[in-house]
Amino acid sequence: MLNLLRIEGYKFRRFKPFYFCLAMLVILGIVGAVRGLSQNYINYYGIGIMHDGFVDSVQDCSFAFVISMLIAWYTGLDFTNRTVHRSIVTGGKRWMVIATRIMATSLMTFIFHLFLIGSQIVTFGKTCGYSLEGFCRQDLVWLGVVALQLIAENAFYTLITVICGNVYTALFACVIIAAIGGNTLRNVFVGNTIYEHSFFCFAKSASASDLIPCAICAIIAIIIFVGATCIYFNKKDVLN
Amino acid sequence: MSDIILETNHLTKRFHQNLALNDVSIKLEKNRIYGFIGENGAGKSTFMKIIAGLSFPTSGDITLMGESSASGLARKRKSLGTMIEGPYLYGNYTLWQNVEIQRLLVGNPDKSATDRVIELVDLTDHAKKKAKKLSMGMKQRLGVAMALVGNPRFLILDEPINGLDPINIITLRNMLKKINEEQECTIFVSSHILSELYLLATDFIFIHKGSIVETSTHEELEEKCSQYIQVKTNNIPETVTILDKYFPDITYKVVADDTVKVHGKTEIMSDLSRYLMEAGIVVYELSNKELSLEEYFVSIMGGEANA
Repeated sequence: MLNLLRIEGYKFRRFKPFYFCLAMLVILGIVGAVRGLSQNYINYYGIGIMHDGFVDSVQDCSFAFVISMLIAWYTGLDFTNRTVHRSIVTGGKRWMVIATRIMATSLMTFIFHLFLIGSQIVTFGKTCGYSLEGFCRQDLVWLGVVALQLIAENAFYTLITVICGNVYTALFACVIIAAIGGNTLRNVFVGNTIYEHSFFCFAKSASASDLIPCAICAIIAIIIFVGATCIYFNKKDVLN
Repeated sequence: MSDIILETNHLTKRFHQNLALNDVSIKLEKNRIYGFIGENGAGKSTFMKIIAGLSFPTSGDITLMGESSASGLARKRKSLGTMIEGPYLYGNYTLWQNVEIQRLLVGNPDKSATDRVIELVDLTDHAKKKAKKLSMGMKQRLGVAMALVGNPRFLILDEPINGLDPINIITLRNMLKKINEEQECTIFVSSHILSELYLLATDFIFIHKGSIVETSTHEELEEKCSQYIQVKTNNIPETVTILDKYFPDITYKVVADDTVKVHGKTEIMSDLSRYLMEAGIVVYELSNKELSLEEYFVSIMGGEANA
């Protein structure tokens, strides 16, 4: 397991699409730090405090398709290049192969989400003034629940990628599902309890009534999807 | 401690209606070099993939270095070096990084092993090149380096000399022989280049349509290839009956309506002649002939040599 984790760390550090996505968010943050919030946003929501940037972005799943793309790309490449074979033939247990990849992509997508939050906070700070007012420990719990939801999302897209068995099909399938699940359906299922507690829709507030069901749903989803992926992969012939 | 490094019992693999491996039972002894021979689609790679854990048998057992349980096999696979259907490379990583990843995967703590195996396959000058920019021959050598970086006890190589030039083929052959002798490493290697396998292997396993059709040591194969008896008679069914009855250990092949090739023991010729005469069979020809390795391969695979 340790060896597999070290390899994932090695690959993770060299995964260029991840840095490209982070660079986009950094640019977004720099633009936000220079220009601040758009006039339309201010007209609609009014001017608040910098903490609103955190509230706004921690639950933001607009980039679900980017997250799904990163997962499918990172995991799918191993199938297309047949490099996943190397983990198996060197005695890696298959569930470990899956688990280490989910860990790597979870870390990757969490860092991506942190950068998104950072860029939004900077943007709000420019307009509302830089201040730590409103930040509290509860925000960390909120972030923790969102991290759990991200892991569930990772497990889900990893399952799709393993079923697809190659990076191109996986990218197509995951991005389509993410665009529908994360970007389109949120406008359809406004107020729908099930949807709003699923990993497609990050926890909407720091209140216990939001966080607890979201956390429970995320944990159930993680168990189901990791379990399903391991069972499927355990029986799969890795031939091509 | 057992001398058997790999044993398979009634290994069968079925892909839907297609029987890829049919009841394969073999034993591989330690410190030998096995040549695995069969035409395309015979089941060589499928067999190797099952041993390496990439594929699962439909039925049958594998015992690898004394372990046959799933967890035991996974543990023993750390002592395997494999290259099956080409090396599995991270194209965007350098040659060195690919070997280093493999070293980490197999858990070899010796950091110098990466440089050592790269030097062994004579790729030191290309260590910083991206894997995707390497020539086919270099990729093959990189695959061998990756297979060796864990100091394997059992090396499985599928067509390792594909794409190699003659110099590199000789280098690889000598290297494998050296590893076999110095590291006491069992080598299981498949190739279509029979003459090359003949120079390398100590034992040969012939597979045809998923079934093992013959296993021979180098000496036995040498004997079988060197000479055979060509028998031409007026009654082939009766000739075959006599061969089965009096010489159950020999192999033969009916190659024409009136001709049988009897491999191996040429000393049976006088006895065979006598039995045929006693049975009243008219013998047109009974002669010793030479058989090349390719001809022998074709004959046991059920075809007819052109020579």
